[in-house]
Amino acid sequence: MGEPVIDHYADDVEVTPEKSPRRVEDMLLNMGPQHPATHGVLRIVLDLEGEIIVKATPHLGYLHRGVEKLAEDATYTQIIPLTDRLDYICAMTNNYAFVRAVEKLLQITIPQRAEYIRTIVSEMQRLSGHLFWLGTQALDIGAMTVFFYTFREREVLLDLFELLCGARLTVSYFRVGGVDRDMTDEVIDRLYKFLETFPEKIDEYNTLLETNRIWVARTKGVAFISGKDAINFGLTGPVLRASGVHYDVRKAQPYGVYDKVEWEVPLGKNGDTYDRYWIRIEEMRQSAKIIKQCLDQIPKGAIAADLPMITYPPRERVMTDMESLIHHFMIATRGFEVPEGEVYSSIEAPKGELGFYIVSQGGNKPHRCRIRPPSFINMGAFDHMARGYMIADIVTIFGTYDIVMGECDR
Amino acid sequence: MTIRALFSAISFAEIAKALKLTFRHMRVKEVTLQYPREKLTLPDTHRGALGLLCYEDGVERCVGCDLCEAACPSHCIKVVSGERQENGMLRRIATEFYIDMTKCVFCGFCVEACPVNALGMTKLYEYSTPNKRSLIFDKPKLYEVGEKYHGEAKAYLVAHNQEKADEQASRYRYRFPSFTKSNDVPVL
Ligand code: SF4
Ligand code: SF4
Repeated sequence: MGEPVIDHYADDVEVTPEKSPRRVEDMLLNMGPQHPATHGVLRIVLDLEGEIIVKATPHLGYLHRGVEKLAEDATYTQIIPLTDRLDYICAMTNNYAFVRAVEKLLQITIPQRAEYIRTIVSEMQRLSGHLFWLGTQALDIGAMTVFFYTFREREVLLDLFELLCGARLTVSYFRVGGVDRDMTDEVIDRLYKFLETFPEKIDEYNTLLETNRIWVARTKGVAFISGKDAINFGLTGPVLRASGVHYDVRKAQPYGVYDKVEWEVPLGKNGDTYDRYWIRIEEMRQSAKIIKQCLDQIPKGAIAADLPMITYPPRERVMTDMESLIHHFMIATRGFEVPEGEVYSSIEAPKGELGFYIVSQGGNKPHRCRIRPPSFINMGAFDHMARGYMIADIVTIFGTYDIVMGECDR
Repeated sequence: MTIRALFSAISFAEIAKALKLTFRHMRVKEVTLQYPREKLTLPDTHRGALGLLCYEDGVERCVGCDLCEAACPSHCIKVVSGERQENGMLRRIATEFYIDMTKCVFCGFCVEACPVNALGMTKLYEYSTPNKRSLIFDKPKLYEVGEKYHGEAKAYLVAHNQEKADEQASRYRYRFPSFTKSNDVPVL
């Protein structure tokens, strides 16, 4: 059998490196940057003691594209496609966060119909974001079927986005002052039809996961964080709510039409991955509820504010009216002027609080555009949450944030 | 552990339930498409490759105003404008027009900015090539795309409220006054 293995955990055995027949030392393990489970490019340096994680150091920046710097050289409208590429699986909410910050700076209000459309599409985006999380997290843990089922529903939503604005992922749908294109009856009908069957589909995912012993064993108690720690680390979104902290930007500072519809903020108790799974499942149900109410209530009317210096005038007017044509030229070539000032505005993205801090010194471009990405801030608690778990749990632990590196590294 | 929990742990009840669900899906109509053989029908709003359009009588719509170049967030359009004599009229025109498709992000801002609806987005998305240079679409190529997918580009403009359907479309046409030289007084 060879030499006896010295159990260096046992108290009565004194292990010193020289005397030990085997070398005992901590191991450094590099995980990533190219790893199928990192959802992007992320490198983690793991300090291991046997199979136990002693320390986990995330190295970020592999997907850094300098969005904040690029934004300084683009007009406000041209930044919208840049924000698409932050959290590229939830582009609608990124658009929303940015556009809302600019609107706050300009102090404009937008028509009711546009507010409803914005709320509907951002809830659709939340559905597709959570479906994406559920599918990939289950896939990382080893359950493949869930992935196929969630992506089937996600596909329906993406098709609706395409019908609505022409793109599936990088939507660029929002405009300062409104939205790009009206929600047609076809979109509304198909959305109603989707919502009819969607709750059954959620039950399907639950049938596969909820009591499955592998899923429960690999998520219950994994990546635990207490409510207090979660607040101290500045976590937001489902990760925070799973620890039982009631904070949702949609309730705390309602925007859009979230105060006009009835819904609840689901809260967890244990602050582990299993609770986060429940929170996201419940949020999907709530989102479906919100969309349904919005669709019932949505008024007729304009989809963009009538502000000649900010939004494009309607096409008929451009063709027939000299003044509108001039405005059209000015907006296309120079964008619009934003008064001097600073503004912070945030929304509840599927991953947490997504905020934009814009400093304007007048002119058509922001002086500074700082993004508060939820994934990045959540990543701060990674080491805290990973310590003491087994190496096999590491995939669960960073999957639990619903991390997207595009947003994390910007 | 209750008897019930023990029983379900031994009998693998939850696995059986899940398997029942997956087996039921064997009879559900499949949703995947076998891509190269089957293709999605794309909606009219789809933002695909760009093309330049002509009016029904074959006159180029583009007036070389450069608005698309200014509006493009990825700076991938280059327009060189000039003047040309046409049926006794002096009209502005884009003498050269390049769109770098490798940089284009398909945001549709250029279409939105164009005052005469000269640009349109088609449903063309299969134009991969080993020769990267051919992805810089020049003026002939853009007009070729525009001609080949004229219907799609028009449908795009209508779906995005840029243009009305055919009968009213002539209202959107820009008509040049009859100049003969740039500094002439217009002949009314
Ligand atoms: S679609 Fe967008 S990126 Fe592409 S050429 Fe037009 S404006 Fe530029
Ligand atoms: S395509 Fe349209 S916006 Fe671009 S130069 Fe021609 S007329 Fe102007």
